[in-house]
Formats: sequence, C-alpha cells, structure tokens
Amino acid sequence: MELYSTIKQLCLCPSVSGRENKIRQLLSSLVEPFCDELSVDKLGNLIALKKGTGGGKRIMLAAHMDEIGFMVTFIEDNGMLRVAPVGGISFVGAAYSRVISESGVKGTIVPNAKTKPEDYKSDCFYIDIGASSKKQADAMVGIGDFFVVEPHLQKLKGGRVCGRPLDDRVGCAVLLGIAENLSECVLKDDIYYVFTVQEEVGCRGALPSAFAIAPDMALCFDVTATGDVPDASPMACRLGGGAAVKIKDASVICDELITSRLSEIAESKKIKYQREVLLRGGTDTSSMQLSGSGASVGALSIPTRYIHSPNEMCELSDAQACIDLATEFILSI
Amino acid sequence: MQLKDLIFELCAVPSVSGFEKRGTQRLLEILGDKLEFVAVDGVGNHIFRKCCGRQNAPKIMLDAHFDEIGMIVTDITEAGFLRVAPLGGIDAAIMQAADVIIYGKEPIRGVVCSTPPHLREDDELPEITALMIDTGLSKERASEIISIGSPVGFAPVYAELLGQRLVGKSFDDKACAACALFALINAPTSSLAGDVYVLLSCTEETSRLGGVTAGAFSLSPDYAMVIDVNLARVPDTKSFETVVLGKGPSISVSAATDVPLTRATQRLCEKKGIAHQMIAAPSSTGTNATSVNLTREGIPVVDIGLPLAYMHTYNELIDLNDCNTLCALISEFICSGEIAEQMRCLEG
Repeated sequence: MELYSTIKQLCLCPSVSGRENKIRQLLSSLVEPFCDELSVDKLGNLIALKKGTGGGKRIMLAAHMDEIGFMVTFIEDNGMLRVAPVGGISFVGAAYSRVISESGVKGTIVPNAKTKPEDYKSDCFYIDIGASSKKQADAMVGIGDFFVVEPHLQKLKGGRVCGRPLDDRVGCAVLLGIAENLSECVLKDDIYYVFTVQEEVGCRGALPSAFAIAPDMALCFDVTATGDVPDASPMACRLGGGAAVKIKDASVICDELITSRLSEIAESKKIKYQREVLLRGGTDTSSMQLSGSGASVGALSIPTRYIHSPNEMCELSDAQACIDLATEFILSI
Repeated sequence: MQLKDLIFELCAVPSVSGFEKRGTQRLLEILGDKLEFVAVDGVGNHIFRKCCGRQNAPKIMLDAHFDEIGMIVTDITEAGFLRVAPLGGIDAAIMQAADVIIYGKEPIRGVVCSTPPHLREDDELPEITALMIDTGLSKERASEIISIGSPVGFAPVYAELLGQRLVGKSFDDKACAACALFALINAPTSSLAGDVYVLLSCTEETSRLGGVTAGAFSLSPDYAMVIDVNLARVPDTKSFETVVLGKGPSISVSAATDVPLTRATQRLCEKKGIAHQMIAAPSSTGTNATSVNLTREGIPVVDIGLPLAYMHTYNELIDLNDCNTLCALISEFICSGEIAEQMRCLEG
C-alpha cells in the first residue's frame, strides 16, 4: 500500500456524516484482503475482523470515515440554496469555496454581502449552483441533499500534504496500513478494524460498534491540532514530531497503562513520537471507553493543521509513524 | 481502624481524575485484608464487595467516585516551568501560590507561580491554562521526572478543627467512599440484605457521569445508592440550594432517582432515628445517580449527600458527626431486608 495515494483515494470520495455509503464501499474493497470477516452494522459502521488463534484479547482499532459538510434546508425563489452545517464547519474558511453535492452538482458557497466575517454563521450563507430559478434548482437538488467543500489533496515540497478531508481519511489510511502489516501475522488476539460513522456529529458510530464488540482494549486513530503555527494556543504538538500519543482530549483521559506502553515501545523501536494533550475537541476514543462495561482505551493522532478548513495539512512521516507504532504495539501484546 | 483515619488515608491516595489506577496499589494496602477486591476495570473503576453467602440474594451497589479534581501537564517551558490544564472544575480563585504535587516518575512538590501584589497591574485572575508551576528544576531535570500528560494534584494536608470538623483536599468524594467502605467492613456478613458491592467510580469530575456507567453496567445491581458530597451552607449562599453541616446526610428527591427507593430510605432513617435532611434536586442530582438511573434498562437508585463546605478547594470542610451518621445510614440500608424485599416485589 502506498500511503499518499491511499490517503488521496480516500479523500476524493465525499461522504458526509449519515451518508457514508460511498466511502464504506471503497474501504470495504481496500480492507477486504487483510481480514477474515467483513460486516456492516445497523448504523453503517464497517467492521473488519482478523481472527485470532484463540485465548487472546479483543482489540478494537477505529477511525471515522465520515466528514463534515452541509445539508440543503431550503431553496429560494431565485434558485439559491440555504444550508445547515453537518458537524463543526468553519464558515470563515468555507466562504467562497467550491462545493459539490452527493449527486455531483457543483456550486460555490457564498456569505451574504452585509455580514462581517467575524459574524459568519450558517444562516448568512447560501450555495449558488448557477440555477436561475427555483424550478431549475429543484430539478438538480432536493431538501436534505448533502454538499461538501470539493475534496482535493496535493503534495507539498518536503513530505507534507494539503487538502481535505484529511480528518479523518488519514486515520482510515493508517488503519489500512496497520491491517496490511498484520495480515500475515499469526496472533492469538481478535483484531477488529472499525471504520465508524457519524463521528463529526457527536462520536456516535463508535458507541454501538464498541458495545457489540465489547473490546478489552481499543485504540482510536484521528487527527489532532498543533501548536506550531503563528499565534496558536500553546500546545506541545507539531507537524513532523511523529505519532501523537494521546494523553487526553476534551472527551477522554486515556488509560495510562496504554499511553505509557505506547511511549515505551516508541522509544525501544526508535519510532518518532510526541505526547498529546488536546484541550478542545473530542474523538471516538471516549465512545469506546464508555460503551457497555467500558474498555481500556488509547489513541494515536496524526498532527494536523487547519482542521475542518478546506485546506488541512499533515505530514506523511507522522502518519507512517502511527502505522509503525500501532503495529509494534499490537505485536507486543 | 477509626473512620477519621480511613478518611484521611483514602483522601491522600493519589487519584487525579483519569489517573485512578495510580491509586490501585495503595487502595489494596489499605483495604485488601478487609474486603474482597473484585477488580479494577479497563476504565479505572475499583470494585470491592462483601457477599452475604445466600443463594439468589439481591445485588446492592454503593457508588462513591474515587477521582479528585486536579491538573495535567501540557508543556515544560525552556525555563523549566510547567504549563497545565484543568482536570475537573478547578477554581481559579484559589490557585495563586497553591501547593501542588506533580505525579511524574516520582511525586515531586511544586508551587503555582504568583505575582506579588507590589508588581501586580490588575486583579484579574489568570485562567488555569495561563498558570505556571515552579518545581525548582531546570527543563532538563524536570523532563527526567515529568512528561507531558503527568497528573498534578493538590498537596495532601489534613487537619482537625475544633468541634469535630475536618479540613483537607478531596473529601469530594473520598470521604463518602470511606464511609461506604467503613460501613461495609463493619457490617457482619450474616446481617447483609444481599451481596454488597462498593464501586469506587472514576472520572466523575471530568467526563462527569462517565465512569459509573461502565461500572454499573458490568455490575448490573438490583438497586443502588450513590453517595456524593453536597454543598453546605456558608455565609452568602442560598438556603434552598444548600444543606446544613452537622445535621446529617441529605437525601435527594429527584426525577432522576427512584421514588420508592428514596422514600423507603427516608422511612428507614425515621424508624432508626438517623438524622437526615431532605433536599429537592428536581431534574438532575448533579451526581452519578442521574447516570446510574439510566444504565441498562434502568437501575433504581437513591442519592445521598454528605454536607461539605468550600467544595473543589484544597481546604474542603466536613463534619465528622455527619460522616458517622452517614455510616449508620449506609449500614441500615445494606442490612435492610425490608428494602430488599420491596425492591424484589417491584421487579416481579
């Protein structure tokens, strides 16, 4: 598996929270060679099981496959679309971006002229799909249709990539990388690779999937913020600093047994890592921790700048470090 | 062992919210020969029990959260100062010059940096994330012991005031945990109305009601008592939002708890002459009870409070008489065949 091309392939498959079918089909085909059983639960979580030889633990590794977007709420007489955000949209970032609907209708999302950028919220915005009337727009889109800011990804000089939605297709790619690494290994543990739905609207998909799997141990793979840009809030996490071992985010405090084990393995195997304390934003880690009787949880994060903007940025070497560290972690259990 | 000693010992066990497992060894030293240790689960709940020895006995759960508010190290500056973020509801008003302990590879003392009044330009309190901790160490030496993610707690300093009042840190909620454990330790096996589990639940102060859900889910008790501290009346607080120190534990009446169990507990107190105060907590108790009540298909729960003043500071204040009364209430509750029978009939 070539990491960059996999991330790009995943990014270019728009799938807003609640409409994950396209990305699920793609991920099914990509993970299928590395697992023994593939299933989809009632919410739409994709669960790939690599069976152990028995007597081991149940280990759940999860990354969310949904992304933020917009939903059409109303069509004006002049053919403009009103929208509501699905997930945490940065409207300042989204202004004047190209957007595309789930059926391929293109347009641009525009703030009204009288609102200042600091006051931007969803009801100041409309999507212009080039329709000249409501009748013409009705023929192309309906109430409840999803739009996303057009996906794209490019390599920058020096190993960094920029585009969207790295949150969390880069985590999905990391999960695929781990699955590939472990596919030939004989393990006594059952490994569940879970691509979750609806993370962006409240870490929902991971709850029932963790309930059904009842893992002994769970690891989440998602992006995290950094403190390495001008005027950032202080945060000791940076692009190129390696896999970010999550200690805490706003939704979870990870099990110290897992975080210290990850740090030890990173040091002994010479895998670049850093420790992450994220003060804002939650992840599926918390859902897996508190589902059913609870699980011992940790997370490896991919440091990412400009999260939820049309141009997120991360470094491939950090994603690779997450793959390497998680693989060694599983092999050491 | 005296109740007061158990309170001081438990409250001094390091268990900053999310890092409860650091306290496992010390907990076992204190309790291992007195109660059966069931497990520390994946989330960080510690579970102890005493069984009554009868078949098909009801399962009774006593919950008290074992985590305490604190902070977490987010960075070590070039000059060796520590940046921190809060774990739980830390009050910025008490932080200047506070004594803290950083639980790194070994516990080390630190002090929160403060600006002397001579040099202060305004009286605005800095947010917790703007505070620095001075350990006296350089960045290099600090980094050998402390890492990003190390928990930080207040220094455990305890004192007895006159009139049976105790002051110190994290009585919220380990004083209640001590009362539950003390009551169970001293209850003869033959007198128990069922198998009694003490759930020392985790992360109440951070994910609020999170850890108890996993614990109650796995234990799946027939009925439960949640015990947490309650705001005590001090000058300038409203009487209808507070309870009175020295007048016994409070019993909450709430839509988020079980009415029959609550009334049965109230009747039990009246019958046995146990001092108590009724308090209305209309739609939520602000404690684990709200969450236990909604676990699985619903677990009947009664919410009991220990009056405590100066909550979430390093000098919380409780009344030892209230603690003794709370122990008496818990003893009667876990030994009440009447309540066990009532809960069984309701289920049937």
